[in-house]
Amino acid sequence: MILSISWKNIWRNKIRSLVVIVAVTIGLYGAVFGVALMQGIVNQKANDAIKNEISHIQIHHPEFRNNFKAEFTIPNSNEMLSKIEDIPTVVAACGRIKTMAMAVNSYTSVGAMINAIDPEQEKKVTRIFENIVDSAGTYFESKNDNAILISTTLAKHLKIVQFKITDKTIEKFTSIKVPKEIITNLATIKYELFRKEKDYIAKLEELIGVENTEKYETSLINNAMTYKLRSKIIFKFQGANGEMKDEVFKVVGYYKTSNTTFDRINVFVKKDYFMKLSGYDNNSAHEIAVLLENDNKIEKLTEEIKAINPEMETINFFEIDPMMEMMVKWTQVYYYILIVIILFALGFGIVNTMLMVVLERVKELGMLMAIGMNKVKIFVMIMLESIFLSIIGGVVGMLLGALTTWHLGKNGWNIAQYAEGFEAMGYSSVLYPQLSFDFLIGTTLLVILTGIIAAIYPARKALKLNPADAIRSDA
Amino acid sequence: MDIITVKNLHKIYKEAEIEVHAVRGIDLSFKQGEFSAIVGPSGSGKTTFLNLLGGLDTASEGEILIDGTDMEALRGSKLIDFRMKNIGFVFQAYNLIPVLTAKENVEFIMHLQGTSKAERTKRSTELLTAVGLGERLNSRPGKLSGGQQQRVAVARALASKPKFILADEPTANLDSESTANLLNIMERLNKEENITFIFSTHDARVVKKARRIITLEDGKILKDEVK
Repeated sequence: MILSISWKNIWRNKIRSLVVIVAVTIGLYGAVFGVALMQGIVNQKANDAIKNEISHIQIHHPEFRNNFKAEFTIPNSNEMLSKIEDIPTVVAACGRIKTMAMAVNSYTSVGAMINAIDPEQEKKVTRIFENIVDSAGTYFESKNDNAILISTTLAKHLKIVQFKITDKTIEKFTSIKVPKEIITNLATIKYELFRKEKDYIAKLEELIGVENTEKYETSLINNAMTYKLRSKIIFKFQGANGEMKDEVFKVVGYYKTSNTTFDRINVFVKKDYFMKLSGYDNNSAHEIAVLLENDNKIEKLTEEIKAINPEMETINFFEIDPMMEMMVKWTQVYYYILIVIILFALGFGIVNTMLMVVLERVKELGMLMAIGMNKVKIFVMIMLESIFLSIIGGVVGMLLGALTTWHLGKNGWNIAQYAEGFEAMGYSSVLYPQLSFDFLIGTTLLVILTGIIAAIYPARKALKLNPADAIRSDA
Repeated sequence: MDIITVKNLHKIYKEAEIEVHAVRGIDLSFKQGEFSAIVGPSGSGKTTFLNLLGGLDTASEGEILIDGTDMEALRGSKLIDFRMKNIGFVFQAYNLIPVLTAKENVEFIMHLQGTSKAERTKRSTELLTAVGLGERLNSRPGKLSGGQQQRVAVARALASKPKFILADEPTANLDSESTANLLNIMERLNKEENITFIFSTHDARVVKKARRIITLEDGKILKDEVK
């Protein structure tokens, strides 16, 4: 009956209760959606890192990661690979030869990491094959042994890009709100190919003026950029026996992941050819990358794989990328800090409302005490009213937050205008918010706790009332 | 047999550092089945005396024995529990719970006493029928007249089967017809079911019906007449 009275009591002043409920709803909606967005970004980053770069577990010679010397290979790597692939929760594993190199062309020279891979086996472990840019080549479809995949980022550094305004470029300019008159002017050079950036910029300045060119430079460059296939790049690197090698590779494709730092350094070549060039035997690898079904039992599997060859260094995703581990763990704490701050602020609103409730009902509370309602029951009644106010708003806010998360999680939220900045930090510009059930349960408990804490002060005020005075009062 | 015995009762309030001696040494007793009115001018100590009898306030000196139990010895939850089981209250401003129906208001005190749902439903219906509100069981206080609300308050006071009912100015907010109606009901309950009623009142109509009139002045008993 007390539950029923409390429920009915909150609707005695509908407007006031609704104001509190709406405030809690908005607060919780913002908090839940903000957390979902952050969780989505972090998970996406972790997933991208696992699927494009690191995989779940890596095995190396214990010295290899210190100096990347050619001699530090994993002995009998093929045998180890097949043993790893026999483990039930392992999706796939692949061996790589990795060598630090200097990439040189007629324009410049930059450092790079050559990843010599078996293209078909690599497909099972990483998704580089899915990240080949449209109209920028293929994933090793070329029969050439000296085929190489480089990133669009490295292409820019090596200046092997060219510029051409196409229908797609015009569409993109329209979508990012480049003024119509500028687009009309740009359309006059549609399909004209500029082999050098400075020629393209000079033409732009002539067409739309220096000021507009500077204003829209980044978009005008990025969206008109095309990549030269079959460009030759010389790589200088150390062979298996320490001797220096100079070899020419032909670009067959350009890839682009969400992490420009990874893209900037990594190039991919065919393993068989590279091993022959460098003098490695067929049974060696610098790195074995392992993809698991999921990361639920990653610690246990790391140990299991380590047991295959205890002399090798077997490390999992979090050990390879401690920044990511810190980020994943810290964000869990951050979510709750955010929720607690929002609930703390909302709690004051509830305290205020409940104080008004108590002050308005002094006479009634006096009567309840007089006829035999004890202090515990009065406290429970006021606390339930406070909990109802917070939990209605909390549940509605969380539900709306979860619905928005579900919708955007399914369709993605494209924030193309910030793509460059996001990608420079290794994040995708299409965000997929995510929420965990545990978080919703934790937040619900915090909302209930807020209701309880917010009721303490008003309830204490009520309990201090003298029934005789309260009955005679005007309220 | 006396159900209430009051001995040398004093109550001193402190208001803005000034001591107010509201009740000054009252000795009194009430028997089962009395229909008594406490009268006197404003400030004579009627309400204070009634609050002391009901355990809503504590005496500065003296004792109140209800069926042999010393009220002044009871504190906190024991006092609340004692009040709930032994004393019924009817207040000037009805003081019903506005979000509950007439029936739920009557049932509420039985719920506090732990009475079963079936028993609550039966007794609340009987009591409301007895006070002439058998047709308004499911009306909320806001939909009832002042007289009807006060009758619900009487039914509520009776619901816990108390030893006596204290009614503080029960007719002060009622018109003549409602007052007459309410007094007739209380008189009938007193006569037929031997329920003890003690009123504090200014209302001549209540005084006329009462069979014992205790007049207070300056916190003391001026007259104690039995008709």
